Amino acid sequence: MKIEDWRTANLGDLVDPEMGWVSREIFVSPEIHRLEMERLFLRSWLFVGHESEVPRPGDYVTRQMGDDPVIVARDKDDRLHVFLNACPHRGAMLCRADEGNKMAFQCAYHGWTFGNDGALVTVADQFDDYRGRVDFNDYRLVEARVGTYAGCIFATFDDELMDLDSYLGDSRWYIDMFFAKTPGGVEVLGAPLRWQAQKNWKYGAVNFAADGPHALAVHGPVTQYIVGGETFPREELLRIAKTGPAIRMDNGHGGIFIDGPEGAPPWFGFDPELVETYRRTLNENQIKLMEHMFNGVFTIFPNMSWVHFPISFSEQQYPAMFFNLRTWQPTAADRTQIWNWFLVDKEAADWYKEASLRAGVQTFTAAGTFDQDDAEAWAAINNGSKGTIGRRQRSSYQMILASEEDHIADFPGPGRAYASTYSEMSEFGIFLEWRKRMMQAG
Amino acid sequence: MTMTAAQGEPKVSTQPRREVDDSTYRRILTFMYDEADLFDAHRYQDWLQQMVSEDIRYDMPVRQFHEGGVTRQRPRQNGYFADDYHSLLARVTLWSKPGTTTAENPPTFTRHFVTNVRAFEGEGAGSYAVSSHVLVFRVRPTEPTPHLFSGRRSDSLREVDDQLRLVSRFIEMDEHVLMAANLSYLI
Repeated sequence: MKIEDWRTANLGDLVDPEMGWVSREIFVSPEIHRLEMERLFLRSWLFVGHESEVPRPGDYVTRQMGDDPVIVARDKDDRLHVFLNACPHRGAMLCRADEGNKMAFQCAYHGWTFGNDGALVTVADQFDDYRGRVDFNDYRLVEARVGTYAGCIFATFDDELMDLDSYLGDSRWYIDMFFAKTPGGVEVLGAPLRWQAQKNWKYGAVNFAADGPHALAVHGPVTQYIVGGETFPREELLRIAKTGPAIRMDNGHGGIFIDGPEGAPPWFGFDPELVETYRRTLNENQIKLMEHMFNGVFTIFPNMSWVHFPISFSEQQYPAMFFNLRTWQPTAADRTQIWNWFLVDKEAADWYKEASLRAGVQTFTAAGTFDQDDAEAWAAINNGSKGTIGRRQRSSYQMILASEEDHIADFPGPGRAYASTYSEMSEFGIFLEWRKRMMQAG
Repeated sequence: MTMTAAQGEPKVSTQPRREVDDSTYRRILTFMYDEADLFDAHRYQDWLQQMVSEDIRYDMPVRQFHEGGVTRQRPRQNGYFADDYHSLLARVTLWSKPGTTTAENPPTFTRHFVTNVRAFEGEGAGSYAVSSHVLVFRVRPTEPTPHLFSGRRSDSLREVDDQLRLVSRFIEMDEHVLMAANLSYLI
């Protein structure tokens, strides 16, 4: 569909809900990207960090919401704030560091200072010059609404948007399973990685919602290296991969589970000393899904995802589960900045935290043995889609025509579950939500 | 001569270090250049077998901007490499055949520039502490714009049967946002 067409016609035509087509225009057009900032990212609860990253009063991290820089800060009363990282005076970025601890932010340009609760503290040398003619109440930091769930900090600049609990909806049940399976919940290990890739942010968000068949096509070799090709032939990997459910939820969230092979012990890859705690903290249905899970991959609409599975490159090393959390920041139509965290249960043993972090770093970073191959595949999609003829083509999610009948009526978790990770039902759910939100003007 | 430790680098002895003699320096420099040649020729398996010790630690943590350069101390740091022999073996094995890698098929172009090599006597005979700066110029088939990786390497080498081997490598990277889609090579 040409640019002129969608402007005069209907943004809704860019996604065909019945036939499972998605116009490639939405992955390459700068105009659509611009519109996404207004209609999508502004009207979402966006993940900006985890409480364990700002544990003490004065702690702050600088993050991104859509294309705006923000400061996430904990004030002296232990309250979290998310501010636009821009001085109300002339717009200079107030804080140029990545993280730190202080109670006030001083702008480098004229020395104006703001408390980490957003209040103007001083206008440096200029106070007398204003001669009382200015209302300094106009000079608070621009503040976003903040919500937390299971330690995850979300923020939005949209005053009309539903509250966080309503927005997350059914996904909370799954967030609980991963982020709050112990009373203490998870903690972030180290600082986030950031790297920049030439691709549209939606390739990542949809891939983690999740894309079933790419797992064997792209990650088959490394998976077989890890599990051993003889004990674990490709056919068996394929059977396991296809058998997991794909879950589509309201508000665009989606995810998959993949169970381990027959005979794998329960809670494989978890900290063995925490299994009893998991059993006490999770409910019966969550336990049912978690105790045989090898792989859980989810996206919280629009751009927060996680992936979780056991890894060991040596028989002598325990195959600890890594827990990778990431956001796909929409830098440009063809540029995504990936922010990448690793988490672990706070109560886990030290040796387990080491093993879990190591497993994640070795697999799911820009240098990771899984990520590096995905990067090339996504770059290839970008290159195939950005031309004049390329952008007129449609991307196929037509598997939904077959998969829609495979709804699992008695699935233990909320949302609508379908029988296979190859169903494309949860991936296409992202595009259905995208379409719904983009069609809402003003 | 005392080496100053970069942020997060493994503890460096505060005793004055002795620079190695000329012929040892020559051997270590040759080791560094041989390694760069093997990397650029994608002969990673040869590198692992001939130049690396089985108790290798290979680390590259994340790097951030902090006010006054003061980092927050953490028990564990995130990063791009936290490798031992087994994970390095996985990497080089997967890169060795076109069918087991997407990132390196077609093989990307790299050119490793190794400079500022300083070599000191290490702990024990036949051990050396070596630092170097490295630039890696890289082009991938899907991105004509080259990526230039810059970093400082702090290495520990050990002589075994007249053969120098890498025992540990700590890389301080010079970007806080890695401006590349992937990092499918060794530094």
